[in-house]
Amino acid sequence: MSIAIRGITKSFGTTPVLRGIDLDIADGELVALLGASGSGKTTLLRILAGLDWPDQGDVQVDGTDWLALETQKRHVGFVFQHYALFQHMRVRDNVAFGLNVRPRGQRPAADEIRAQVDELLNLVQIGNLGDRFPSQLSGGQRQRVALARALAIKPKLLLLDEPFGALDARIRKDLRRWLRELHEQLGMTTIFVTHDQEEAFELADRVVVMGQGRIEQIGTPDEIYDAPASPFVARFLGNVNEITAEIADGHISVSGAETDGLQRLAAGDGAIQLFVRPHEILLEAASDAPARIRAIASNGPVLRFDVDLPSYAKPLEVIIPREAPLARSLRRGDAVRVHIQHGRVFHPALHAANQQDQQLQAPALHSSL
Amino acid sequence: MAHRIPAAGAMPKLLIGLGLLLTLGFIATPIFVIFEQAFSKGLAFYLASVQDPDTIHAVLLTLATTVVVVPINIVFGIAAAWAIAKFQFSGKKLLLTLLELPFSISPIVAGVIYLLLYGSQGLFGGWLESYGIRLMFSWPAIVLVTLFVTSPFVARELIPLMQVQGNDPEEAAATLGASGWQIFRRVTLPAIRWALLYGAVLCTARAIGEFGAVSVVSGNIRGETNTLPLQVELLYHDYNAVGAFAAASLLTVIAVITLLLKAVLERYQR
Repeated sequence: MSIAIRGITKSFGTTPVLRGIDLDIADGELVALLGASGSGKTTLLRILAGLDWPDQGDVQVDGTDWLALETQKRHVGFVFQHYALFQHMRVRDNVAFGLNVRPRGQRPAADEIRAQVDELLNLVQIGNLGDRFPSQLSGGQRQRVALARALAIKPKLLLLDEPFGALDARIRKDLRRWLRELHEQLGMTTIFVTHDQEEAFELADRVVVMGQGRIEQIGTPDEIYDAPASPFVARFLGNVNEITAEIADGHISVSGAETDGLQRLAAGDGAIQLFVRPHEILLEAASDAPARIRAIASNGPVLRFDVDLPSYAKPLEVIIPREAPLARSLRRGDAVRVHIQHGRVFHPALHAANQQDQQLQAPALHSSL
Repeated sequence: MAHRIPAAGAMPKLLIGLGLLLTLGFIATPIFVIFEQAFSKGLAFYLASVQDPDTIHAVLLTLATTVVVVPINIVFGIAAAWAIAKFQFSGKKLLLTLLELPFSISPIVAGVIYLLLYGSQGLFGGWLESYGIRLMFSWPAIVLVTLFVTSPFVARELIPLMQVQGNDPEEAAATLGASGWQIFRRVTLPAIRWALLYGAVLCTARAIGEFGAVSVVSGNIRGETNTLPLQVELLYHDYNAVGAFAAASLLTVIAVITLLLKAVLERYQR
């Protein structure tokens, strides 16, 4: 089902949680709402489910006024962060709940419910656990029960609140891949909330980045990573060095570092903030260079270097693949030349004036270098 | 136990001994004395005392009061706990405080308040009497004050549990299409059933044993408005100590049964 969200606002008491949300979601799409806690992403999900109501705004689903429908009539599959299983019911009865509460005329016969539940339990790969109680299951298994229960009412829209939040890293990865396959198999519109950008990027067709009750950016994972719309998004998508640079005649210079790789920027002279990711910096051993390696950390496939530039208090973060020839020869305290190869600029005038109100306008002036 | 705290010197033994002594002196002995006194003139006299018409009437009156009060308090307790634990509204703190009020007010004072409100000289008493309704010194008065005194028991038992359980299961049920009543019947009620029973048992114990408030409003009419605790007092003042203790033994037996029920329920609750 396709969803059109227009101008949604919501406050809890005097605290605004959503400050004007516009979002379209196409039929069959898998969308991630990505944001830190307090960004309003869960509230938006709960509004779609009918568990919260907005102060203003409109939601149309396949052309019908969604907000006029009560929760029970929406037939939305909702998976809670902590699963919200019915502790006093066996797994089988949990899954059958949505069918059992239907009015007599619409309720399937008992043996048909049983067959449907079996099918669902097999679909979520816990066919043998039907007679257990929720307290006898692991976190990953509970998650699957919650999903089967939500799928039992054959929803056209599936909503998941931090679906992997309470699981440990390895199970999370497996479940993520499995959920993606399940989505392709069932084809229903799916929206999930997460604070983990890796999760959002791996799973979703489109990612909606939210911050402080607003949508900061909407796009495919690649679009968002390659061209973050605002400093907020750039910061949210993992580590980034924020370097104060000088711009003169369109040339960007960073004191103590080489910036020949950067393109010229059509902007007035002055100071700017340059956003550079750790892998966009190259190091070169050079005894006459001003930069010094402060620390080296081995981080699996990459090595992470903290590099002191003379005029900056905060060290630059640089990552180099473990196999790179340079990686093993550099030592703490070595002098290195720093080459900044890529970076992003958000217009300084706007950035300085910004406060969140103007962040959304930043993309027009954004420039990838 | 894997590790024990080593018993150093005589201190632990002294403290344990003191605890035992106090339990024996203040709890076990009085209970023993009740039965010892009740049977002091033999089994036949005991049975005769217990079968005294006034005592039997007192037992029935007490049970009738309990049978009316406990269900009302269960319904009220669930409603109050549901509202307080699952909804946000202004005046919630006030409602919670009101709920605790019967705990903090002396039962005698509660009885006097009812007398002042509904007695024939009271605020509403005259008005009620003009319609021929006389509340005080009758069974309805006993029910009213017992309701007041026992009203917090069920709600106080349920509120913390329901607050911990949160709203998620109910919300999940709603998204699955369950109606309000179905949510209550199939999700909320099963989740609180043991705490509810536990609260009901406490409420029952108190309803049966309540003395102070009832003694003010009942009028102590022998064979008419005397509950079992009042009957015990009455017999004692009549210098019928054995009869008093026989009636008290009935109360004690009821109390012990309630206690056992409570212990069993506590086990299930976990």
